[in-house]
Amino acid sequence: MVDNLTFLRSALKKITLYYVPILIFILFAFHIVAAQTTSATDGSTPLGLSPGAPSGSYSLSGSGNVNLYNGNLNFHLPLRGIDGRGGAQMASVLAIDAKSWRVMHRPVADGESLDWPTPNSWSPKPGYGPGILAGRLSGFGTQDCGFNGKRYIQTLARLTFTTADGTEYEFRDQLTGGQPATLSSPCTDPAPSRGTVFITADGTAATFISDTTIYDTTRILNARSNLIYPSGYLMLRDGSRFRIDGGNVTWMRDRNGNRLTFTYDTNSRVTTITDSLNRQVTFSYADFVSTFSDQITFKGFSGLTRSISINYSSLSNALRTTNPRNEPAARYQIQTYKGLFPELNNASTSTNYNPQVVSSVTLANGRQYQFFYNCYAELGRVNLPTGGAIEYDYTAGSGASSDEIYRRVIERRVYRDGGNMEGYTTFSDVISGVATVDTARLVLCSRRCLISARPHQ
Amino acid sequence: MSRKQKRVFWPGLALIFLAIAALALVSVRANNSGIVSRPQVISATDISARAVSASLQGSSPSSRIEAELITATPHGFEPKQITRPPGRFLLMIDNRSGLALVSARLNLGAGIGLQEIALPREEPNWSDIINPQPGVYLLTEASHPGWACRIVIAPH
Repeated sequence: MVDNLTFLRSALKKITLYYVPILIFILFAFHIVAAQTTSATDGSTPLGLSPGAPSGSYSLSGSGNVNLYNGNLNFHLPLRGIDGRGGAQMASVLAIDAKSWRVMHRPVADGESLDWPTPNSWSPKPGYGPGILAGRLSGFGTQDCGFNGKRYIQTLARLTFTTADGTEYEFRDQLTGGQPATLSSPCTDPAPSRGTVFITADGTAATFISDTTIYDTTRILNARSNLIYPSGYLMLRDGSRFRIDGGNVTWMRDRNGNRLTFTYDTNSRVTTITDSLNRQVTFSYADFVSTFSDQITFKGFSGLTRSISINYSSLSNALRTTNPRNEPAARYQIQTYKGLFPELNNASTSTNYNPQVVSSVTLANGRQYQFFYNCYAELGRVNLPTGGAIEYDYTAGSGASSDEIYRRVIERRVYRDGGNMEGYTTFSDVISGVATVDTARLVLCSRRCLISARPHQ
Repeated sequence: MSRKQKRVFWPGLALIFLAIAALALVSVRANNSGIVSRPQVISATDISARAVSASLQGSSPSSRIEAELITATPHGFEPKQITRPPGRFLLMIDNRSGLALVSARLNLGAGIGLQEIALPREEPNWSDIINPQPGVYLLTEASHPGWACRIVIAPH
């Protein structure tokens, strides 16, 4: 009897020591697998969703581009040029990009999934800085590894440099050309190496050399795509070189050694930029408690301190009030996520989408750009300091399916004095691989008349 | 090991494996049906206890589960408040603050810990399906006392 009791006691000890932790691990592993969220930007950004102004975008003016393929409006207002000697130059810009909405997916029972919209793009934005480098680690297919949980069968790592205007440049590892790595034994194979050299494949001939070897991940985490912020050197074909630390550019240097240096706060936002002549531009940010504007401060003519303010307000206070195409009134009213995307079953019917947006930019001379939006927080109107205005209209519906949100800019109108239209441009959808741009210029004669219509393909 | 001990040990081991398999199955099904998976950190008050018990009884189909997104920005959580009817919903928190780590805490009004959610910059998204009972819950951040998002679950 005593013998039995001793045995039971030792068995219980074994169970506590070995089996319980194993049980906890198994439950944790199963939990993660089932709860993994996915989106279309896992691994890399599809061209249909790429933001910014990639090569081939249709230039509207000095501050706007339309990507005719995916319909993205990229509005970027240069705020302050930082131009020391030589080619080490950049401009701090205010970038307002239409392509940010994504559909998030989370699998539930019976192969169904929860689908909901998010306005957050996959990567952080560089703000007023020159760019940010982030890597996406993702995988496809899973294999059950028993006590080790589940592992990916194929893995992928890609790096993306996002420039100040939001344009993304993808870097693929030189070892495999960015191919997914297939694991022969997912349960035991180590994470595949991507080496340290990454290159672009879009003709820009940029190279990134990482300080350390970059590895894929075989572990299945909360989301299918997870990020890394590498350190190393990014080199462009014109000979300029960027030092990247933790994803942020800490200095850039042209081929002649002229250098711009950057410092950042704990939020990875640029705080100072110093040019090769030791002139400094400083940045301070809204805290949304006592200050509602970002400030860019620099020395102007004869050493006077000048500043530019980027002012924020909630979307509800910055909605466009004009509606010349008689779109539904709701297009310019605050709505719930479900109101914005009725096609997405799991969008919230309770919470209004009312984020903080840039409502105006006050220049050093006191003149202002004003910005107005539609209910998706897409740029709808810009009032220029000169008195003119530009308006943008977008896809009539929500553009959402259960897989993706695909919204396009469809019309741009120019007003010479804020009220009288000078001309407009329409952008068609891509039909049989062709996007059509029609530009019409209106002038005032005895009555408004159309004097030119120029199709552009 | 004696024959007697063997007679106890192997059936015991088999039972343990059966229990593991059953619990793993329950875990998967719980996740698949979108039930809160970390209720153990909810504690101490009646409201939180009810939140746990209710979590296992949700019967609405997945299509009725709505998602609520809270974004951690450099200046705090957006939105500052979410008001919902009672019932299950998916809560997603997204670290867009630029901070290396956001340590979110989903608290009851009295400041009792409910969930500690680590959101490193490398894994910025967290989501889970929860089913809190009517009441006011507070989402805060460990290093930023000023950051708060009220989650108000209205009464029936």
